[in-house]
Amino acid sequence: MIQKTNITPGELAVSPGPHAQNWLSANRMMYVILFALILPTAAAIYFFGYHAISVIAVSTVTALITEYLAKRMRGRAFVMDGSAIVAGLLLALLMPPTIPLWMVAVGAFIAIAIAKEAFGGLGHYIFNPVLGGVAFMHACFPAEMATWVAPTGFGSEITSAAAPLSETFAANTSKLSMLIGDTSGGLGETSALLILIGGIILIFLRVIDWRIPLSLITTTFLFSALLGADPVFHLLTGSLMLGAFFLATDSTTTPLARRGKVVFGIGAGILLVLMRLYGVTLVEELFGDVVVISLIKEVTTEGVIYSILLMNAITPLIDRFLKAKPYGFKKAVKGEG
Amino acid sequence: MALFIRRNGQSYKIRLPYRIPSPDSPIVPLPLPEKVILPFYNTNASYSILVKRGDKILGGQKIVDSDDFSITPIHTTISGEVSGIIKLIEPASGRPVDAIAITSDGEDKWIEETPKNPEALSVKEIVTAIREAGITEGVDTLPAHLKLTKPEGKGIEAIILNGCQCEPYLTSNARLLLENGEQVFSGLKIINRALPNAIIYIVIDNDRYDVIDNVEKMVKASGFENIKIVLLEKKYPAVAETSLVKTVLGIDIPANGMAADIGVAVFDIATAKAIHDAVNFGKPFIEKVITIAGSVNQPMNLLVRIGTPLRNLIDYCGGIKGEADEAIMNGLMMGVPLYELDFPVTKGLGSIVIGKSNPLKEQDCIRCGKCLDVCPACLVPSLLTTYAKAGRYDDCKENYIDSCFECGACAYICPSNIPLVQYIRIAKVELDKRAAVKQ
Repeated sequence: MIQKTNITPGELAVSPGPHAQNWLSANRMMYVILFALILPTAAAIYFFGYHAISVIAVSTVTALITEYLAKRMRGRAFVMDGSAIVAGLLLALLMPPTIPLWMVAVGAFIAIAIAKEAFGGLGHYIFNPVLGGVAFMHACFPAEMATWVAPTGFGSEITSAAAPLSETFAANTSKLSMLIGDTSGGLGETSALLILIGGIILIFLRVIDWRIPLSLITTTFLFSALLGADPVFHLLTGSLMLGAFFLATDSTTTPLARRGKVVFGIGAGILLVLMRLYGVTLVEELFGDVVVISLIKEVTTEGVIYSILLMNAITPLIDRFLKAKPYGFKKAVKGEG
Repeated sequence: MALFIRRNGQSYKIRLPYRIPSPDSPIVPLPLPEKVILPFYNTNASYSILVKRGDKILGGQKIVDSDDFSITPIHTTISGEVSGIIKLIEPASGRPVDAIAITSDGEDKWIEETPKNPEALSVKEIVTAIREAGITEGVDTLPAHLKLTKPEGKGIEAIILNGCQCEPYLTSNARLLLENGEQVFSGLKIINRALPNAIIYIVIDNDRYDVIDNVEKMVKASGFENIKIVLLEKKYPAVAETSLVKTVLGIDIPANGMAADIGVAVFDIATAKAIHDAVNFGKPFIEKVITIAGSVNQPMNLLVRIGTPLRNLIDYCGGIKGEADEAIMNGLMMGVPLYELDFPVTKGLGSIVIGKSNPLKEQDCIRCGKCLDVCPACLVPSLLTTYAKAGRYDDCKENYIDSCFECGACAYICPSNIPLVQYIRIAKVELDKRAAVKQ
């Protein structure tokens, strides 16, 4: 049983602790997010056919190329860490299906080059890059970003359909089809059920914190019910599900502390409901019925994007004010010494 | 009074993986080593060395002592001849320490041991006996008798006997409780005599049913009324002394203070057993149970003499298996790596885990907030690291960096593989340097 060991001094690896590491690295987190997005992507291709495939392909490839070029320009090494693919895919899933592909490329380029890399790259940007790209596209191409089609799969007909948050949509679409995704809308936004499954996968594997989706969804539900709108409708339409699970939970742009994340979710929910219910009328009251404003009306009905962007801007403030008192500095809890 | 308390360490999130099975084997005594090396750590030089080179000494003889009552003496752990004083480098700090090397004469001759009856001794005599036996506690090798002397004006109201395993792969505490349970209990009784009016909490992992049954039987048989058994869920880092007090009792140790400041004394199982040996038999603290785990051919728990070179232990376990190239003392998370296998077993060693080193590339912080989720001291490690990288050490101090006890939970969970503990240590060292300069 006794056996001489061959290791001589100098052959032992000496490194400071800890000497164990959790399996979930940042790269793996990105691949888990891609895994969670498989179902919504499959639904997008099923409902919207070739449009879906081309938009997703253009968006993802542009995002990758842009990230590579941007990192080269900044003098950093390009690491294939999956974040560009995730950004490209999420951007594609927010697009209306018939959007011209060059516009998608512009959006992906702006999202990665400006909203992500120009602010410092992974871990340093302030605004969610995907939402930054979508907001840019709303400003540049408001008409194309507001044309919606009915889901016809791989059929060759393109029939225009109502915008996801308009009254005709609300009147004509059943809740079940909103859940499954058989409606008009962004490529990946339509199927609330599949996004929910993906979101639960992410929470279960601890890639995202459950507090943001829960607080966002709950606040939206309660606040919209409070203001007299149909809460379930608001939960199932538009990009609320996608935003709650995949966009609002981008860790770089959300607060660090647990309480801060809850505040973020609540704030985003309140802003979202206000924008959806009152955004149009407010813009009308402020600016009158000008053509440009009418196009902006179309997009502000989609409150998810701008509410999350606004909360991203407030995140550093939330971080500053919500810190727990650390061990040893709290007052004695149980009696005296 | 209810016997069992369950604590789940709610705020601690990490369940460390137990992929390599813990060596839950019975304790096996290691054959006598050819030489022992006994380092002494007190660098304030108030100790005196009682032997010189060439002296023939008997096992258990005192070789280093001090007039200062708060410093524990050092005894030889084998009989033989003193071969000299050598310099070792201590792995944790990298500083050189002196050590006395003793070559064995092959026989295990001992000085006369004087059994005593603990019931008949006064508290002062018990404390003196414990000091004379050189019993130290824990990884920091704090003298155990100091914990038994009451600080002025404060009583000790809670004694915590730490029987759970803070880090994965370790089983020495559980095995000691199973095999030498009566001795541990007798040591506990002696501690209780020195610190009366205290409630005793015995902390055990909640999935070791054999240990729980054994301890429950002993508690009921002993007739003590002030013992509670705390069942702890195996979450890291619930068990460093600072966290343990918080997990079991719910109170924090004040910053830069000690557990005694809030009336709590924490003891290891090994210390309790050594106290039993010391007071009942006059036997000094000369052996420890060490767990060898990881990539050795036969992981096991060994009873070794303090001062045995670690190479003997690893050879006895069948040698290193495969490509493993790091040997870590005292647990994977808070442990210190060895730089050579000839380093001796010290009083503060509890285990060696052998594994393959895995250098990871550091990436940018993605501000996920997982580090502050798991931090037992409610700190924000990513913020402290940002300040440390920028050289803003005063901001570190304002953010309570002194509360960090370097458990490593943050670095473990970090998805970007940032060595958070190292940056925090750099900041602490810089702050100490500045504090020293000011004085």
